Amino acid sequence: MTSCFNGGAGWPEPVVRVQHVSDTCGDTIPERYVKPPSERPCLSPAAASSGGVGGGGGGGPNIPVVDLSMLDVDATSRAVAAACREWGFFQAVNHGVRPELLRSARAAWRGFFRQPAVVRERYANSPATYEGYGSRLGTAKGGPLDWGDYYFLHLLPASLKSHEKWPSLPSSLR
Amino acid sequence: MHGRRRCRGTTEEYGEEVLQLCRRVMRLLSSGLGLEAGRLQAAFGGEGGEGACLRVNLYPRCPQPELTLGVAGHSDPGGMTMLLVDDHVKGLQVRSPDGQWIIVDPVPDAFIVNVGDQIQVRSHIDIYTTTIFNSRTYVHVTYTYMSL
Repeated sequence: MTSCFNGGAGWPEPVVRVQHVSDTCGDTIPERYVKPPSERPCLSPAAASSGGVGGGGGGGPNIPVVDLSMLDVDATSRAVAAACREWGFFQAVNHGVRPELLRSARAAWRGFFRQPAVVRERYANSPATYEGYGSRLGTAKGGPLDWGDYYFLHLLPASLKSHEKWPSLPSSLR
Repeated sequence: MHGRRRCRGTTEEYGEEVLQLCRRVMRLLSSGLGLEAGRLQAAFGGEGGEGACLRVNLYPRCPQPELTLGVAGHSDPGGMTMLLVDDHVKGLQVRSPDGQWIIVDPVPDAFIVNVGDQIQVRSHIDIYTTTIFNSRTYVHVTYTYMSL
């Protein structure tokens, strides 16, 4: 009842929310979420259980950090390009997006996922555009699944942005 | 204020600001690669002509995190991803230049910028990792976490 409202919306089989699987699967995850040994995350037991909490440092290699508030634009450009060439990633700090906005965006979306399933399912997506609340990519019946749910929205071009796909949230949410 | 309006307002504002940041980083990358500052952005349609989307990810707690992934190994499609990860829980792994998977230790409130495969295609400049699966997300026994 909580997880299979949308089997008909273009998916080859009912879509089960990982939130629901997490709440009901007990100690063993369903086979479809189990990755082949070569693709598993190679976590130490500590990282898998509690060591994943941020701030641990650990001194291992980490991706480059680039301070975007530096006054020397050429130096910033060089740092960005070097990080992208060498790693393909970097962490942008002092990027100018206000921390309060980051907080409220996180809170708003956490609120979406905390709503009852019946409310979330109003925004269930389909493989036609993937916009809305989803739990899988691809339409291969019986195929492997990832351990995550998502919400997907188009922002640009404006012609693709459709506000009816945007969720409402409890008005009590800050 | 209605919840719907507030959510739209926040998401709209978040999207606009992150898009501005993305344009700025594109300019920096473009000139850092020795191209004209506007060149990369122009290759993606120029200001207002780009495509942009928002994906919010929820990774519920998992009894057997060693067997699965929140997102299986992939390279990001398109131009550039600005990932805002959870402040309290790590989960992103990326491939280091020597090919090892490492756990990203996020700086609070930083954006993790991931260069998508189209940057290399459109700049004609060789950029590491954009042609192989270079990121994935693992999950936890005790934590549900979220990224945008």
